[in-house]
Amino acid sequence: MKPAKSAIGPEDTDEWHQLRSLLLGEEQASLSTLTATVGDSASLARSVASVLPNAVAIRARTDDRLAIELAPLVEASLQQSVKTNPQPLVDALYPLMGPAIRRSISEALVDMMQAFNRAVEQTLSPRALKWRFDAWRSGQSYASVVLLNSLVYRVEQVFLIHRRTGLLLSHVQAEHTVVQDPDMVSGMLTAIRDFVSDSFQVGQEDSVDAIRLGDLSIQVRVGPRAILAAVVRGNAPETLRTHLSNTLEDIHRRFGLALAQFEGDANGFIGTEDVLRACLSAQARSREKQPWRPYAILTLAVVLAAWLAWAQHQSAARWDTVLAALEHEPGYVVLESSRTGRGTVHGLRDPLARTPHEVIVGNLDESMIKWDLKPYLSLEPALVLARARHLLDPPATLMLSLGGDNLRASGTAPASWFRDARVRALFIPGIRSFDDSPALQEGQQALTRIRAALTATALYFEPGSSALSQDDRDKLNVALPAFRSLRDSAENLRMDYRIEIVGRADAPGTTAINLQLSQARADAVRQFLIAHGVASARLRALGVGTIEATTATAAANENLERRVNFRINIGPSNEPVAPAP
Amino acid sequence: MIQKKLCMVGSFGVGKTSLVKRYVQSIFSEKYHTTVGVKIDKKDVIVGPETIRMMIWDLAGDDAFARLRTTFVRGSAGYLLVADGTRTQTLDVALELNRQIQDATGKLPFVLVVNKFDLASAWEIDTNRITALEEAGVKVFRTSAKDGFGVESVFEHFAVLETLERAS
Repeated sequence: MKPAKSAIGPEDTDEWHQLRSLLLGEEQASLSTLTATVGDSASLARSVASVLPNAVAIRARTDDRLAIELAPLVEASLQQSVKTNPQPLVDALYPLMGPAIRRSISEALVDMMQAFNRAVEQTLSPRALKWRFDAWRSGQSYASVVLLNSLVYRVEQVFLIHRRTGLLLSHVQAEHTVVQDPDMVSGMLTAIRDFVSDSFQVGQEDSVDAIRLGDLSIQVRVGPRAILAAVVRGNAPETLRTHLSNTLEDIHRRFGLALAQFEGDANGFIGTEDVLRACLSAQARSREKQPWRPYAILTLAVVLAAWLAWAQHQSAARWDTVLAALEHEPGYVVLESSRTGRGTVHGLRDPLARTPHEVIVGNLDESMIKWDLKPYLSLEPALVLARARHLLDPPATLMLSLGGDNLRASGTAPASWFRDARVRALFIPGIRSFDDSPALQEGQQALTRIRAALTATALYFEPGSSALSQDDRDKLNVALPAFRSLRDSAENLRMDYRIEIVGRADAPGTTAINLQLSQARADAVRQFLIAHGVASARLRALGVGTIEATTATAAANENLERRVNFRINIGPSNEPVAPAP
Repeated sequence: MIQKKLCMVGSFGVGKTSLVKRYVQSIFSEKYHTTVGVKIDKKDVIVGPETIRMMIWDLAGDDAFARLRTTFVRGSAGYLLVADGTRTQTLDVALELNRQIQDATGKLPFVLVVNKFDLASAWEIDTNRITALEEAGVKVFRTSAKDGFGVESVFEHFAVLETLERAS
């Protein structure tokens, strides 16, 4: 230990000091100065103060550590300052806060007014009426006219512009948009803003926030370091303005440093394209969804309602037609009808009336109506006549018609039919008299014709014979219907009749013989007629010999004298006419 | 791609517009000068691997009062003072404008472009004056908008200046 101690010992010697000053000399002096400086806080503060600003600047460029470290300190000192004396801070902030608040309030008011104006405009303004007129004139729906005029807007381009230099930081455009060189447009936009601000002496915080030309507008939002400009075709809604403001604020928040240090390299702003693109697409979505849907639904509803109303009207009209037809239809009485669901008709129907199907044919589907019809007897003329035809069943040759409550018969029918009809007609409801005079008149005429025809009929015999030749039989056969008609017509007319069969003989022979011969001839004809159904009571055979022969005709044709012909006597009936056999 | 804003100022009729006409892309008509007071064109200059895009703000000339909308110069990376070699007064105006710009925006890189070199024999501006300016450190370009002499080099100068600044 000793030698070691002695080795250190020389420190205190003069030689040691001499050697030290020889070896270190100047360094020793500066070292002691440094020691003095570091040791003395006042001089240390002086030397740090001289490098502090540079040190801060260098560090701030390297990273944000300094800011992080300082932040709590600044906050604390601000709080302290506000606590002790807030006035200086208020004074410092006033010029900033005042305009900012004013502007924010005025923007809010503008937004509100726009929203309000649009709401009013779209309901009853002259413009809305004009659009309705346009829609009516062009045949378009009102909704599409509104879309064209007000609601369609499209954000075509969005520019992010560096505020100080006017250089373009980022640009997006909607599809199918024709754009000019965005770099130059960006510069010119800045120039125009500057131009307006310079020319019209606006406040420092004010700036151009919209440029409008026809339906094109440029919505401009100005931030401290960047400007956002949106080119909008159509009517930009207030939501777009808000969206742009928010976007610009967002960009300032995220790219604040890059904006502050911008020296012409826009690569740092590629990341903004997404938010700018959102300004394009967000608006496009809201544009497509909102307006057309309610209008389309409304239009559809109106069309549907119109169609239903039309169908309803049509069906009501048909229903009315059916009811009117039933009302006018003889033999129907509608007591009650309802048209809900399947139509229902309650009422009365004469069994002889036309069927419901025949009445409504072509107007409504018969199955759509539920019929509830009770039978009744109608006294309407058509039904009375129908009932008369139904009950009297006249032959085709007879016509029935109704005049008031009088049933008229015209034409011809068997006597038996008339006999029945005269009685039965009066039992038919609605008929009080039966008028067969037209039929009788026709019967009279027929009787006259028959009588003439029979009177003209002559049968000729061989001399001295009373046998009917084949020729005579043929003639009689032809005449037989006339005998029947004679009977019927006379009966109808309630006339009595007698048929005289007059036989003759020619001159040769004695009177007695001729008389006998003529009688035999008349008898032969009578026998033939009786054998063929003519009532014997009506027939009288009379041989007149030659007494009635006229010389003139006898001379011309002896043949004429050997003949039989008929005389018909018709007179009023004194006794009830016997029924035909 | 680096973008830079360049301004071009000078008296009326010195040939600012003609100077760039053949060398830039333009979409705006010249009437913008009389309406807005500025017309913006674009020129890309390739320096080495890099393209520098110059947005050229061609400011309207105002002879009578040599006044300038300094708002338009704000944010520029540099500017061109354009004078007409055949009119001395245009150089005075250019220098006055230079002063105004420096007052408004501080020191910025700039060059002096003396145009109408094709009419060099008719030049009115004293050559000594130009030399004096060059000696004082002002970069001077002699150009002819008519035949295109020297025009490209003006823009190249700014592009090179820009790349140098970025390299440092």
